[in-house]
Amino acid sequence: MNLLPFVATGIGLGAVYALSGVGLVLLYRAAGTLNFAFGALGALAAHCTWTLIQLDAPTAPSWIAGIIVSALASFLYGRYVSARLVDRDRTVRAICTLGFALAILGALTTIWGPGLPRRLTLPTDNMFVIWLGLRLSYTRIAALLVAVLAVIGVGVLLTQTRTGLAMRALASNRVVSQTIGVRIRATDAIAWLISGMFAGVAGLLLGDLVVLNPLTLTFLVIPAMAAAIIGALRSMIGAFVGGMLCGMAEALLIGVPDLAEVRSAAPYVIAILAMAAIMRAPTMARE
Amino acid sequence: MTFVRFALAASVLAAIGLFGASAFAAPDCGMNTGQAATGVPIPIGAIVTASGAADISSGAKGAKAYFDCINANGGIHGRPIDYSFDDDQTRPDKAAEIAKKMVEDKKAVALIGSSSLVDCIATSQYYQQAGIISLMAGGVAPQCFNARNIATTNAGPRYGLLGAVKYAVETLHVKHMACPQPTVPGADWVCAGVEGYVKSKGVDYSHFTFDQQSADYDSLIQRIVQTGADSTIFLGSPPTIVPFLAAAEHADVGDKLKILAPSPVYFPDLPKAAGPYWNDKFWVDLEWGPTNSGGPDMNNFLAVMKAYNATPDSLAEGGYLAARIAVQALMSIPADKIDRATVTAALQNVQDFKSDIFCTSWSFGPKDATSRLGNRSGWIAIIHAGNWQVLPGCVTLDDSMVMK
Repeated sequence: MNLLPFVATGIGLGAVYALSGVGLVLLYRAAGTLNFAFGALGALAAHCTWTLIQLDAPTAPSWIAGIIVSALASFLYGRYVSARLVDRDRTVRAICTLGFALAILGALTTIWGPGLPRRLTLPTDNMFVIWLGLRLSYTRIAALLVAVLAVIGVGVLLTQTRTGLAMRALASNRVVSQTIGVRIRATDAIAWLISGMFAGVAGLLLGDLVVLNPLTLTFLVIPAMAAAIIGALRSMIGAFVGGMLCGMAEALLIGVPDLAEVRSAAPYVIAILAMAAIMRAPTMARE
Repeated sequence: MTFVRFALAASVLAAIGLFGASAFAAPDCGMNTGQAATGVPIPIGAIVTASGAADISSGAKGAKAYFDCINANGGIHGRPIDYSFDDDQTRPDKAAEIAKKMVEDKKAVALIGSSSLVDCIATSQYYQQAGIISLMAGGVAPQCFNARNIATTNAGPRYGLLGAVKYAVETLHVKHMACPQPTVPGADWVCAGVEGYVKSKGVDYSHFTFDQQSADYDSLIQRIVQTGADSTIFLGSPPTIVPFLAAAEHADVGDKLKILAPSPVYFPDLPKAAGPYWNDKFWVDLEWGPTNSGGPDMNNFLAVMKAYNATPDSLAEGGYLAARIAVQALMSIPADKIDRATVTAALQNVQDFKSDIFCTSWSFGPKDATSRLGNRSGWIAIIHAGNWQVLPGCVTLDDSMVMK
């Protein structure tokens, strides 16, 4: 069996997992919260965009509006809900985002219904290049570029800006950071805003490349979690590589008899292996 | 769980009823006396799946609407039908418990209009031992089509798809068919049916299993393409037909890979969701007629559902048809002779029952047969100019196609 076509399909999927993983890691590093609502925020963006397009709004502004909606929702949660939980255990904060996810999911299924999935399309879906005999659509290439840019952008943010410095300080020690004047709530809120933007972009790309359905998009946060875990919840590049690995593995396994039947489990298996490796590395196990 | 996905589809199929009902006339029900029946009630039961994996109870609700209409119009020679149904919660043990309650406590003379995911699995042997017939609105599991005492008004996943496959072989002249099989119980039975038929026609066949929990449909399409098939059946969860078609469009295989699907994907909004790429490139088998067909029995179905507050969805069509067949059988028996044995015999004698909701007709078939399919004909629908178009003519399955 020729596995090359599955490399092409894995690139698109992996890129979106990678982008999601980077968004999760950013938030975890800055605000110390593992955001289970990441997928739901993406679903929110994708459905708002779809509705605008159905109302004959131009494509580009509709996509931007969807990203703004998810970023805003994420910001509001970070500013007014998560901010009240800063002193609580990380597990509590993570569980609260699960409630946020379910609230968004409930709203989405109420407004858009759980029935037939819709389609979100881009003109780039049917534009493609042939590379090594692979048919790579511009949308897949764009997804990969966006994921790479996200890693670079977050890297620049963390290392070249005062906000990034504050985020790194918070990641290192929140109490000491507060003592030396880091504005914890403002920094957290910015992290939520950026993470919400990432969620929006990932949701839109998944809505285009995979399926536009509230439930499916909400739970696609799970492979993204796997990507983030592969990055030890700290490394952007690790999350990127993890996301690509998860997407590629899921795509390639369809060509492997027996394993094809369980390929959706690939991200979890990879995450478990990554966790086992992380636990064996003392310096990385602190988190 | 036996073919949960197809049943989930059935629950979503409620939307089919929205295809546009035509004008409602007064319902035509049995003796049409306009007088309520007051005699000794005739006990009839049903089993539905209303909770758990899906809610597909509208089959029994369609049957109840018609029985209510019969009761309000003189009943069966003056005797009303005492009809009730219960939820098996998608649990075979619960289905068995309800069946026992209906047969032994209620003393039902027949089970009419059941629509359940698990009923047949749990009860096919029991019905035979009890000498009672279950005429279902929605049979899903293989056992619903391989039991002496169970008949269905629907064609189910295997036979519904076989209609589309037969059309593809005879009319589209496909040379190589793929059957990607999701990892759900019952799907192997469907693919086995496709394999047996296409190989008998000299058509190449490819088969593989896939994980339908994965959202990566692009790889699934690539996997199908690599089999070398020029046609494939779609057996996934019905709503996933949209990403399946989208992935096929991404790969631009619409002209070289003919995609065939069963009735549950006949969503009213699918042509719009699928997009113009799929005009004249996608074929769906319909086991019952679309509700905007305008046929006299379809219009009566709509009138009955409206008069008795039932949703006129696709499964309700099956329940209505099961109830109509049952009433015809009951009417053939003198009022004082109606009991389980006579009703069983009367139902077994129903052959060539006509309704425009069936593409041709419905028959119980030989009473001792161990495989049966009453509804052997369907229509083929395609997406054309952004809308569904039902093609003229019926696709009818041969005897050789109806077997284990």
